[in-house]
Amino acid sequence: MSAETKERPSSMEAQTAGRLSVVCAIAWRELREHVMSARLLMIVATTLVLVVLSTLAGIFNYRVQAEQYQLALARSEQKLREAVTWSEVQPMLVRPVAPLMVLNSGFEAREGRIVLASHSQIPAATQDASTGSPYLARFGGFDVTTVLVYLLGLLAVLLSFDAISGEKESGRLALSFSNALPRSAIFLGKYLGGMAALALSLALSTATALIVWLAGGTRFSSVPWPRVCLWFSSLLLYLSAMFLIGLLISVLTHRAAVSLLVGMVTWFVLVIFIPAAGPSAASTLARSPSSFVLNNEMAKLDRELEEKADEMSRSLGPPPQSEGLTISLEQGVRMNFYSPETYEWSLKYFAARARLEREYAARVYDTLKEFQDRNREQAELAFKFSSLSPVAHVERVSNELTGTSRDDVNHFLEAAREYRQSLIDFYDRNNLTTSLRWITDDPPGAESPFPKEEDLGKKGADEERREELELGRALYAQVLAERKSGVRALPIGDIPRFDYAPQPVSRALGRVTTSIAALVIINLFCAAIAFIRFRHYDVRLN
Amino acid sequence: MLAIYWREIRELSRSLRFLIALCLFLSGMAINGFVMGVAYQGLSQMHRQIEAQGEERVRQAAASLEQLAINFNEVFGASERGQALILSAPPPKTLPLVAGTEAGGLHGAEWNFPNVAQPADLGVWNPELPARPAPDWEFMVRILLSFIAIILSYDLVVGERERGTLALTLASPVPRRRVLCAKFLAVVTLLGCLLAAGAVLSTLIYLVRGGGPLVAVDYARMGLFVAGAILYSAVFVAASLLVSSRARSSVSSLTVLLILWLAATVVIPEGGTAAVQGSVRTVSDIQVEQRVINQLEGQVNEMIGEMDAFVRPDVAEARKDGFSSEQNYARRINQMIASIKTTLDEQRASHRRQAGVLQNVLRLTPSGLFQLGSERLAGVGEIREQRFLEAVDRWSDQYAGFIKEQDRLDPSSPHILYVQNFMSQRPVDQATVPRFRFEEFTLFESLKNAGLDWLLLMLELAVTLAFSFIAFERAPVSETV
Repeated sequence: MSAETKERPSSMEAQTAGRLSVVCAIAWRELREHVMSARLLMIVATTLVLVVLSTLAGIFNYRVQAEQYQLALARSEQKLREAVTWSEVQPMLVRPVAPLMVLNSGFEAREGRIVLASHSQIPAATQDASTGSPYLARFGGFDVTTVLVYLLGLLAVLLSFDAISGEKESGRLALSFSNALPRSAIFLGKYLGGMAALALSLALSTATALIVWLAGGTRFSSVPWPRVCLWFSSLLLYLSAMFLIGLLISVLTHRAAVSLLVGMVTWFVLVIFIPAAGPSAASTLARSPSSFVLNNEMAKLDRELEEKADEMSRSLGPPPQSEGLTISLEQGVRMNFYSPETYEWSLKYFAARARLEREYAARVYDTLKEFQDRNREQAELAFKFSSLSPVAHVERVSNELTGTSRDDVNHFLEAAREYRQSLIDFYDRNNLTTSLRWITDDPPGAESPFPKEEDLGKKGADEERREELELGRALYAQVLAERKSGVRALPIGDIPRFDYAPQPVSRALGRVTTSIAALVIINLFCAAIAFIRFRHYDVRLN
Repeated sequence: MLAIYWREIRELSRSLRFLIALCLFLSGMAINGFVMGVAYQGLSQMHRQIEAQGEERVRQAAASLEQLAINFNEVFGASERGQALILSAPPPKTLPLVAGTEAGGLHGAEWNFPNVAQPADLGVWNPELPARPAPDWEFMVRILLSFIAIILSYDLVVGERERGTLALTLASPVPRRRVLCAKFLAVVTLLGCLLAAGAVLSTLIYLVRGGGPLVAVDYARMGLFVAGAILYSAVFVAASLLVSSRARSSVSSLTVLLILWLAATVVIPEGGTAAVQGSVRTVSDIQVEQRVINQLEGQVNEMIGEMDAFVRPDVAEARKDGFSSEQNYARRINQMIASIKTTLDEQRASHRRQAGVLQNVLRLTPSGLFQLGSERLAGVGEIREQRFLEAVDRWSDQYAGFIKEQDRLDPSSPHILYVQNFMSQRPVDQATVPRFRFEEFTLFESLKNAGLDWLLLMLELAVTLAFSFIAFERAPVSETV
């Protein structure tokens, strides 16, 4: 900077030094004035305070989410360890936390984290609710990005609203024109100077956020720097759009007071009003289906499945009677102490049931998908309504780049569906649904340890019952001990692993090309109109 | 003083900014009417469906007392027909006023006999949409009208000073505080007119689009809300006058005011929410699942260890030893239900604690006070959900009491409550079965709930106004160089 200061030419020399140096000179002057101005200092100071606070809040929230993630992982491993039959092996897949939620919370904390991979269910949505009181959920995620979009967006308009009309009022513009400075150079210089001031403010704020974040215990190497850089650039593009909108207002008006008013109202409409009104309007025009209706549909499918299963069980004939224990705490089943005939019958039943469940899983998924598609349509419409405002675009781009968007959740669900398929393939490859281990951890061919029906009648009923109870207790204690010692453990090391990689940044960029293009177009459009108007701007008109 | 008052009203009402404000506010209120009308229709339709479904299930179950119990319990699969009963509160009629959490869905509970209730998902809420506040009157006033208040009044003093007319205005033989008073009242009058026009427009659209019907109490709430809204926007007018008296230029006045406005309406409430979310811990679904599974697994293992804690298929045989095994089973089941309820209650309590801390953070700013005051005045949001869940608990006790009483009256019943085949099989007159009804807050209760918040807001207005009077008394008449 000191080098630039030395070669800062006076406006007389600028004419001779060529256009470029004129632009530089004007830009430098603008930058200096902006940086010293009260409005920039006030807003940057406020922004810095808020950035620190929101980064801290982001770190807190990240920790809560990371803790949930660890809890869920632990639960998932525990479940796998405790499973004694293959039907109980329903791996719980856990969505990792995007570290950049500290800068941009997006959808990260609003979605649940777990999905069950089982043959009876195709993952379509996360199964747990987001953490925290539902009362808080309706407040938007207030994060560093929001602070920057609100406050630096305001600063962008505040720096440009009087760039033309204000200078005209103070007479400086007439002076510049009379010095025969080319108008294009003045325009470009003003733009570059303003943008330099904005970029500095943005850099300062981002650096503050990063410092707070790194000081909060995050390792430097674990920060995804390419994503951070892209996120920074998208914010800069947004600020440029807001600056040019302010500049456009400035050339369209002739008094600074009017420009300010129009500028502020425009800022309000673009940053607050349109993003709030868009989704509302969309929810009126395209109704989203109620979860009550969906739940009823699901219950109906459930009943249908049970009826089919009953029918199938009847077609298998009555099950052979023998004493034993059946537990199905969650979806899987675990049987003990039955006779081989009973196991044979049950195996037929559960294998057929597994086929039925897969069929129904597809139908449940289709129903859910239809419901989600309608929601997605509505969200798309809401986005269209708000796409007039650059805020909608920068929000979308920023969510995507920080890995906290809906697409990232969908990417996880897609991976979960693929995993489920590989799990089913694993079942089928090893014929698990038709093996005894699908339903029991008893050794094959073992007779039921309980006395048979025909042996009854010799003793008194009461005495027989007591003996049976004691036998049952002893047997169950033995099974529990064997399970604990690991004799009965399943070879779960063989099941496919869920190796999840979050959506790569290139793919994220690909998804938001239209929004980036929209931001560029807003920039170009405002710049073009403002420049054309500026070429014919009348410094005398009042 | 009146002359200044009328002059300000005349000038402001003809200004471009008032026109823009009018357009923005009225369009916002019109959107509100449409959105809330449609939302009300959808929600009340869902509520009617839920009620009809519940009614039908009670009608069927009334065939025997036992079914009235076991048909409504799916936690332990006491019967194949066991399914939780869905209860819901109707959508509040004053939905456009303050939508609270209600615009996104009904307050609902999945209730399992005898007393496990957990919040049910009865949303029309779209998870694909970014989180935005509902566009209710409260939002329109809290964000938009306060913004308009600033836009209308940021240069009331400094603007006159810049134009050089302040000396002229003050030259009239009126004390300074009266001049300020006139300006203050002029802006507040205009804001009041704007609000009244918007309220009428929104209400009309709401009624036409299927909202309501509104009754006297609802109109009373609306009237009180409008009064409160004027009080709230007056805080911003007073703050504007304060800043305006001290500011060097109208540009710096507006800049300062906008930053203050952003802090008060957006940053502190939203930032506070984020901070509370991260710092006040709640019990998550994963934790609930973990706890419930642990409790159940422990209890199931114990039960299997006991082996005799089962229901025998033959009632007559069970009768011989005085239903000892079945009683043991019922006791176990009830223990499990109780432990699930405890876990769910803990989760609910942790949510309530978090919401409570948030409310106190919100109270730091006038807009938070206004938000809470309006929510409580309209009787929606968190307190309504609490009232609903409490009503569910009360009703569920009443229902369980009814079943017990009816079972006691049947001498042939083994009185093993909640166990299939071991309860009274007598049919029940379905009209006598207690039904769940949600009672809204009365206006008096609402006023009591909201009183503190409104009082604090009045206090804030008085303080701001006092400061602005002091500042205006000392305000320089001409621009200082």
